[in-house]
Amino acid sequence: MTTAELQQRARGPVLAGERAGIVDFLTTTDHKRIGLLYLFTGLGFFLLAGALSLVMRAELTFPDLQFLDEATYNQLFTMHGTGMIFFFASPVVFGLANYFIPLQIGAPDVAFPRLNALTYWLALGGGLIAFSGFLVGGAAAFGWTGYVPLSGPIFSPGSGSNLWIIGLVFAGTSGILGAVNFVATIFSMRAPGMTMFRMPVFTWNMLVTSLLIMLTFPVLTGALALLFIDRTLGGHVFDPAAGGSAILWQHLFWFFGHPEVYILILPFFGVVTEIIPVFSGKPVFGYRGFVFATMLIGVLSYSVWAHHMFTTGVVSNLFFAITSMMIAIPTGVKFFNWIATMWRGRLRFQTPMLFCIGFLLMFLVGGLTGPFLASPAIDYAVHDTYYVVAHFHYVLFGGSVFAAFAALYYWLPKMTGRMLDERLGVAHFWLTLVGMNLTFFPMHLLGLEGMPRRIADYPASSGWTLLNVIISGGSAILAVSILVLAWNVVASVFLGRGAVAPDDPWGGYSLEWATSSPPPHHNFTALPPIRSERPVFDARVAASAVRPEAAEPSVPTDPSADQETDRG
Amino acid sequence: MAEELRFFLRTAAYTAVIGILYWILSYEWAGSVMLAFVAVATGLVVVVFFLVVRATRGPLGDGGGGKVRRAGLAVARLVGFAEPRGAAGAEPLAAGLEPIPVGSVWPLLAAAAASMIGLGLVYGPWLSLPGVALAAITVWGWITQLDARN
Repeated sequence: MTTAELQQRARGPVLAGERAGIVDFLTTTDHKRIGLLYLFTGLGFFLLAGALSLVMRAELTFPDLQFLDEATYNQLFTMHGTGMIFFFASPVVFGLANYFIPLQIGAPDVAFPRLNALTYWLALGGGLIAFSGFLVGGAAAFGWTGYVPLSGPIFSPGSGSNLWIIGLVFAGTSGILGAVNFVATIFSMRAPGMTMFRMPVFTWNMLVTSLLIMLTFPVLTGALALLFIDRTLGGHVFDPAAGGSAILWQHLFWFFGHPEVYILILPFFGVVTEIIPVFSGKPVFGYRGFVFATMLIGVLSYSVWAHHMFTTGVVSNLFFAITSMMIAIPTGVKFFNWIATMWRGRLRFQTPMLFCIGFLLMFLVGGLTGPFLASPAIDYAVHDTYYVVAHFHYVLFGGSVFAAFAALYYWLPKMTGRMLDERLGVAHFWLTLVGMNLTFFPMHLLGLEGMPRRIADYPASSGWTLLNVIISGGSAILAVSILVLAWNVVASVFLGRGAVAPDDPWGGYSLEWATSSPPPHHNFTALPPIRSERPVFDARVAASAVRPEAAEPSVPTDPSADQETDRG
Repeated sequence: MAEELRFFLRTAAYTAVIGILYWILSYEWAGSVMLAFVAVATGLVVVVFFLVVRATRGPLGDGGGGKVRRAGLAVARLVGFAEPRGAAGAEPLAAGLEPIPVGSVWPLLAAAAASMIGLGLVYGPWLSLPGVALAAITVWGWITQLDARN
């Protein structure tokens, strides 16, 4: 990069290759800009749904109702769950995938650029429609699972519930179209030499995730359509009194809902698998093991849905207990491989790596409570208590959100051409780690003591007050940590205070580090030869054989060529 | 067989076996039908693509430029949907010669039309009908933009 170009970029934020106005973003079909739109939309809904949770925590800190009534509280937890799952986590997954799948496979864009833009606008529209319920007399208030008959026309008559259904249909449709696009891109647009088993693990995981989306989102969308018919056109599909089946909703919802959990975690497994090797100075241990473990988790997820329905008494608990426990096996393979990748590596504890290590520890806690809940005997005791809330927040916050933050620190320099501030990043990490454990760990104890989820009030005589005060304090720390992150992004990227990012700030391995930061419109001006799953590393080694100084990356120290024999 | 097809085949095989097992263990309709749906859907992908791949000549498919890519293009042309710039065929380096991809206002308008139709289902046809009109305009614009670029 020439000095003139550096000076040009030093003047301010440059998104997706060149300065862009609002109209450029409204009409863009560039996968990088669409990726950024997805990411910032996802972060916006994260703030919104997070704010709802803070209101809930404020109410729950002490017994009795202070400033909310039950009906409002029901809306808050419903829209918190809906917002986090459908309009924060999914858009962030799609944003990262949009930006980095074409870069990682050496393609100029996704297969269907205009379809790609449509998926983003549908997702945004869906989010706005679902949340608009707050403006028309009350949003949906039956939990993000929308169980009938609670979500039916008798118990939830308001238009907010209909808006929730329409919004989720939009999210589902958007997801299906996006998944088709990703599969087509991965299958047909890989650069010469990029065989399937040379693709970065993130791209592999997105391929498996896309298949999960394509096969389970139609089930959700169909179920929502049936619910809408029941609510507005006098249908009786889920009405037992007229020959329908209420339990059918649970089957349909969880046939989507459990794979959805993997849709929200597999891409982040991929993110962590990208970052740990780079910051360990070693190739990933067991590349094929990672890929096949991902596929195994993917196919197993089709056969575990009714472990959410153990207590209904009408499902085969034995079948679903066995299949659910089996998920621990491929997940264990991944944990072994992550640890083996770090083992005797040259570790660099920069912010992305810190969040990855936090991910390993926190996701492990969430993962370990999984087999307990998969055991019907235990599940009968803790079903619908705060134990379950603790479990899935360790998985989704300790897992997906930690990895999303890792991805942000790791890839935002590539996306914006600006490094995030390292000191603020480390502060953000420690605040998040402390805040999340204070918030979610006591929920295990509350659950074991029998506190039900989805309640706005609890009696003072229950003895739950101290733990609830700790939880609310922890959530306040989490709120501060988000402010630190927000300031870091605003100051470093939008105010231009961050250091200018070089093409390859971390000493990366995959193709996105072979182009400029941010990449030009067509992504690459030159591609290195692709002869392994680490083409950029290979090119660096080859260059160092000619010019030793070429092996040194621009900012940190780098894994050296003698680590090559460590590969798993 | 290319890895792309094996990828679908594994899902089809697993869900077929587990679907039969589930039916025998539970006699529960909804889950059995959904597992069968997954097995048939992924199995169809394998069968259709395998036939198309076999009918397409060329080197083996796992290099990003082989049979699977050409088979995909063949199917796309068959149904009249090849993206204008030859998305699948574009060489990554040659692609820099023209500013790609071209911007388009139609995806935004399509989503706006969908939102109007969706909100109309809640609030009434006065919102849906303009939405359908906008959708028709959008489809026209989307297709003719493709023609103009060709």
